[in-house]
Amino acid sequence: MVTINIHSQINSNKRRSGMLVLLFIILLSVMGFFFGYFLGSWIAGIIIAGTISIIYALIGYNAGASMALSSVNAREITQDTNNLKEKQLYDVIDEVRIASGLPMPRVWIIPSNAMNAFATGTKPEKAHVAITQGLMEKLNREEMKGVMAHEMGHVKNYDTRLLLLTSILVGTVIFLADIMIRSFLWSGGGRSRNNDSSGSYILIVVGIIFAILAPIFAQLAKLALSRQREYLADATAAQLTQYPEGLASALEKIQGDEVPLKGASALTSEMFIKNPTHKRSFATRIFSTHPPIEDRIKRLRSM
Amino acid sequence: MKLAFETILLIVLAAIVLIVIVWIMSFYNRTVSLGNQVQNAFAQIDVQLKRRTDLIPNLVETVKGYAKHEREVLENVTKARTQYLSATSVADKVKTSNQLTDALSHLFAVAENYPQLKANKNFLALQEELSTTENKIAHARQYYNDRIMEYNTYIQVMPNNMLAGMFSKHPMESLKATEREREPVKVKF
Repeated sequence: MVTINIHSQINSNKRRSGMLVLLFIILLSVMGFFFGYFLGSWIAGIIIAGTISIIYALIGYNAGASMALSSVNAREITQDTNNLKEKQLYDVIDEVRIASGLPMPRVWIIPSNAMNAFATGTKPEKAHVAITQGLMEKLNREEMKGVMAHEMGHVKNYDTRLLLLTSILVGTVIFLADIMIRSFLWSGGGRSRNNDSSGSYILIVVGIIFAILAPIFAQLAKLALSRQREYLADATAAQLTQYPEGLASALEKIQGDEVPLKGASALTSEMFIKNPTHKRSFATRIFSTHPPIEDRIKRLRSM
Repeated sequence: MKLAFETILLIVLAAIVLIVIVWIMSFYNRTVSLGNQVQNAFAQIDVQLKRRTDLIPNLVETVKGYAKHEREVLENVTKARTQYLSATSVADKVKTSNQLTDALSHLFAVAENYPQLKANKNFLALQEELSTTENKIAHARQYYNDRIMEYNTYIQVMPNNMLAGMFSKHPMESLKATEREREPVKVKF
């Protein structure tokens, strides 16, 4: 019998989501302050930064799932599909979600030969899971069930909400930084309405440096969401299916795949079961929270 | 203004009483909530069981079309279904449910000998429906057992166990795999 206590992970994710939002509000306020100083009124800066951020974030939060899905040309399938393999996919997801007590998520197929899958959504009632055509064809029923159980694990543990928030907030910081730098360049550089010219120049320079560095800090904040997440989704999958070998076997097949997934960007890549971009650069490995697949297989087989 | 010793004592006692009341209330409410989850989980099992019995007539008809000589196997399935539907006690329901599972496995094993049947889209769809329903029955039971475990753990840990007796909250019994279910299903030809 495979049993683990994942309550602590769910609560930890919910707490982290809250802390992350707070961290970014602070970050965006500071950016707004510098922006405002450059404009001549720091209150105006914070208000403008705040408004842009809130609008951008709200759009992202509500549309994030559908944006991720359309970026990979996903098509939805329902229970009434005539295709047997698709019906099996729908059924294994249904089986897993019954074990988890969650409502049925919406199911999508990505028309790609790459072998990958992801889950997204702000909460279990509004969740989506997707799998590539390539992966679906190469896995048997038990393996497919293991993979979808892993994705449902992310939904159940509120990883999907945390990831969505992170992506949006990083995007907002990058967006705001971009505006700040452009404003600075268009205004001819360096001009400020303050009388104290030397002091204001220093402040503006600090502001620009901050605008450039902020996106990098934001990416590093993503790292704070540890690899724990992936291991725990694997553990959840094992507990839900009561058959860890299904996922282990699927991961073995996925491990060998070299086909990159078109449409997956740095922002959405975190949601996939395996890193979809395949860049072996140092930066990707530093910023990637995907643990090595061999390790995951080993852990599953020891359960 | 200096508070008299008696006043401070009174305030402290009142605070303690308040805390105890809140503790008791939250314990009780949580047991209600967990208990309801258990009941709901039990109902889910029935939903899946009903689905299975609903699917069977169609399956029997489809197979009949291609495998007329397998009358006995088909009759067993129909008989097992009827017996299951007429079972009343929980023990009977479990027994007849397992017998139905056996009869169905036998039917699908026999169907392997009829390539035309295996190529029939209707049959394949039904086979998938029945096999997923069997899985869902198992998972619904798994979920039910998980909820029972959650409830039992909650009323057994300290300090909750002190209150459990007061409110007559006793551990619930989980569904045990029957001897039948533990054996791999043997199909005889």
